[in-house]
Amino acid sequence: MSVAELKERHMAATETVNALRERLKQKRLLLLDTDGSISSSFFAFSGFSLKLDLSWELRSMNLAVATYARSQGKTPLTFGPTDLVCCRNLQGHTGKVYSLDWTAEKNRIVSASQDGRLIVWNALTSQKTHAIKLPCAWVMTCAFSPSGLSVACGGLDSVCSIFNLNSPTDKDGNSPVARMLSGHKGYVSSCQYVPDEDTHLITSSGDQTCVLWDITTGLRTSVFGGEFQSGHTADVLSVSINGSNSRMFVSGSGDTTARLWDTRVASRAVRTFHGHEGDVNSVKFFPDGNRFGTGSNDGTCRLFDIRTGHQLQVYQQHHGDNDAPHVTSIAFSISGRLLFAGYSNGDCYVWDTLLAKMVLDLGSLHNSHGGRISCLGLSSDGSALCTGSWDTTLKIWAFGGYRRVI
Amino acid sequence: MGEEERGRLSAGVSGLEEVSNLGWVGCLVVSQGGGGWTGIGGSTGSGENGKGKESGGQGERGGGRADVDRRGGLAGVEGVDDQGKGKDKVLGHSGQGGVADRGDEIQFSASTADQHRRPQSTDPSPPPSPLITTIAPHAPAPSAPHENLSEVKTQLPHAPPGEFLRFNQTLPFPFRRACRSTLGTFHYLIQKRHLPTQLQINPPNAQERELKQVLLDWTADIERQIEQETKADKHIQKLLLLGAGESGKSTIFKQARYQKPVQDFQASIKLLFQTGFDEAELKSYISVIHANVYQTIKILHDGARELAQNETESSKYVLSIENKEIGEKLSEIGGLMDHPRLTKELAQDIEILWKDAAIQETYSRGNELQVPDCAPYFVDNLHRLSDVNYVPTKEDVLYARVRTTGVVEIQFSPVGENKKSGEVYRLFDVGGQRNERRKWIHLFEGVTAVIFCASISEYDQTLYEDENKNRMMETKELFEWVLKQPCFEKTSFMLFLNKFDVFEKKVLRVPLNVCEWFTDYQQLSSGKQEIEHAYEFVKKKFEELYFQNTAPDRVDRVFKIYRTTALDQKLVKKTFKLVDETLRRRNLFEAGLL
Repeated sequence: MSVAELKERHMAATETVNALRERLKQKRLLLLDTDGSISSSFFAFSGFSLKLDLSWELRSMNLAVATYARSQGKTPLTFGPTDLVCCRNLQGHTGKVYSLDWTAEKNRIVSASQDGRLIVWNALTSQKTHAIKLPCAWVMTCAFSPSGLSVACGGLDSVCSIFNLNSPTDKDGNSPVARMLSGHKGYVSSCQYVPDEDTHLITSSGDQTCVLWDITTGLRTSVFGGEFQSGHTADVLSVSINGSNSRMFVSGSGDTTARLWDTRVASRAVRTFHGHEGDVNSVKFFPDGNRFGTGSNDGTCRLFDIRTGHQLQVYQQHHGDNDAPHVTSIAFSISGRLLFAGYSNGDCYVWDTLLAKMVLDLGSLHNSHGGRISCLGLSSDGSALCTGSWDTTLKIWAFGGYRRVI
Repeated sequence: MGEEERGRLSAGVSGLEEVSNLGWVGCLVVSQGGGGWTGIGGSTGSGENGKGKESGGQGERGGGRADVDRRGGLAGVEGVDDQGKGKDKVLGHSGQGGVADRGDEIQFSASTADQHRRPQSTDPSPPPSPLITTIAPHAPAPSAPHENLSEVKTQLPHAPPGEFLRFNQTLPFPFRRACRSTLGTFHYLIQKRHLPTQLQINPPNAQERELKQVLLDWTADIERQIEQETKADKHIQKLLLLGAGESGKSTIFKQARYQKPVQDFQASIKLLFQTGFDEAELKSYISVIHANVYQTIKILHDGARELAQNETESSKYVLSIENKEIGEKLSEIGGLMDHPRLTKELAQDIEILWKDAAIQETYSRGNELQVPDCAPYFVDNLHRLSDVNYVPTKEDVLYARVRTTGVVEIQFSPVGENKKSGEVYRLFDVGGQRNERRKWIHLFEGVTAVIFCASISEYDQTLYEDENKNRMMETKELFEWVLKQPCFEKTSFMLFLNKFDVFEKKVLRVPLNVCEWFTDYQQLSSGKQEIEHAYEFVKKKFEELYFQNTAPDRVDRVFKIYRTTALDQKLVKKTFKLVDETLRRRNLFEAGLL
């Protein structure tokens, strides 16, 4: 079979796939109905803590959660400018901050920047406890292990390096690399430790795969996607592991989809979520583990349900639509009521997830970031949000005054 | 010292563990007061930077919390410029009416923290945490967070002074790094049993100050190290090498390697290892060096096999029969993740294989096979390397670099290390990435220059991946895209028009017009003149493209075109010298000297 023929067949196959995809989309839309025929008993409220709990049987899910919630009389939260204040300014990086991560307890932050350094901060006192100069300066992601004893980082060198924070530094003050996880054929865009396991972590890479690593041996346990399996068709940009079921994780990619994976089944994704129109830069699981949010280059954040596969809500600020700023990173508050989204123009919107209203723009406060916000993270107890930006600083925002943490 | 103050002292100095339990608001209180003590520049004035920054930070904090202050009676808006005064003010305020309020605030945040660990509970008033009482002047300090210290205390007095490392590892995390510079302090404290098992309300003043000093020194250490490293890095100019596939990019890269790489050992050692390695660290490189040896011989062996299959004069590359077995064994070892230690027998095998004629032939074509430059060096030193008591020398360590796959870097100095004024350049080849450039190109913001390699001989060729795409058009699009990137607004561009030798021969046979970009080309004459004419035409096209894609405000960035033939070493060397001159001139211009 000649190359030309193969090409023809490839094109025909692509056509078929696209047509099928369209039909699927139409069918899905048909299944949705817009009047809320969902019994309210499925919603449980407790003070400010809010749970959205929808069961499998409800295939006919309200496309817009917000419409239903409004019909139930939920009012949006009101946030004054003093309710979320910038209480720490972490300075010390000499290059753009690309990534940050909190410890699972104890309020420490590790941040990675373009100058090739990882700095571990104590968030409460703003002191730096470790500064690690990386052998490869082009780092794009960092993560703290659940025990807080080691940090992982990865970047353009296609290798995920693990550093042990307690090991003695050498004479120059450089920390030795405890382990290098190599095997990716493209840059490592994001990494996350499996919750409560210091020995496994999942990385996503520019070679269109995600990999589950066993750190003790340095070998890959599973590869999700790639040449011989159906996975993402473009660079995988971020990964998020389910907090309540660490066997499931979701990955977002440049092919505008997010895919849900089961770590036991590496051959294909459990489900693919379409809807975005640009690279999915960031994915994050909702606190209860049944939903996840995504942020993308098309300027919108979306909420998807993993059991039904539907898109629940779109969080979009309507601009001129010519150049909507990209969403670079997202985080959910502890109860899930708030969705924090960082944008490429330095804004950081706080969305009310239930009503899809923007309640606060951290970028409009007087001491906000001067550059693009590249990463966001919420502390483990939910009382503080840390944002890292291309202006080389990190800022910690806490609920001030009598505003309770939600 | 009053009861109140002592209480606050104990609260403040009780360490990071305790503070962390108080939550953000509580901590703000403590550290605002504590700020005067613990970290923020401090009365010792360690680090102007630290002082300045943190004061600014505090001021901001104060400003941001103005509302809360009115409600909560906290100080802090004014008076944190002068550390001593600031401290007083905070304490003063809280002394008056703030204690109760502070207690409330802390209770609030501690309770919300609790609430969020158990979101189901609707209990409106969680039991007051024992921590609240810490702030109140008379309450005893909690013991829970300090179990660590009590363990430490029982262990440490037994640790003989020489056992620094073990000491270092038994301490709870906050104090470990500080030990490096304050070992004396700690030993004093431990031996004199000044570190308390439980924090008492009335610790002696000197001890508090010692602890304070430790925390201060520790952060100052880190900041100083960052500053030093940044300064050291500043004089290294970074160059990014970009280009479409097969543009001769990798060859340029290898040429740079032959540009007297910084292997002047005194200079590199000064650059890289300011204080030198100690024996333990040198020994840690043994496995890397052995791995390098195995990898080298494996590359050569596999390369010989490959050349034997593909080359016309294949017999040159066929191993002699005796050595075939050795070759297979070594190749297998080289492919393992965990290499065995280099023994005398293995070393002998490697030497035998190295001396085989086929391997030598393969080595002579090493530049095509990615043979590391350390090959001859390590082979010469095999006896030393395989010794049982081998301790690597600094030279060995220099050669034994761990290669990165995604991005390869090489450091070189085009003028020559003899002259003091030779600039050091670090060239990054990101050819290993076969993915979306736009996702990582912004990492390179701030490089001194982008070297873009375009192969001008490919105007009639199509891409390997896509038969319908002309390579020259692909290069044109890539160049346009790179020019438009906001991260390269201030970056100089060096365009290397590569593969000129191939171009010379081709342009006389195949007219330039076959490429859509060059359709307006008109052939003038023939022979040498024609080649020059064609080259000038292509050069002009690239210049036009550059100016079309450069915004008016970016016109002052440097753009130079160089003609190269990557395989001609002398020409590339000359080109790099010219690049060096251009960049230095630009530096002077930027510094306002030109």
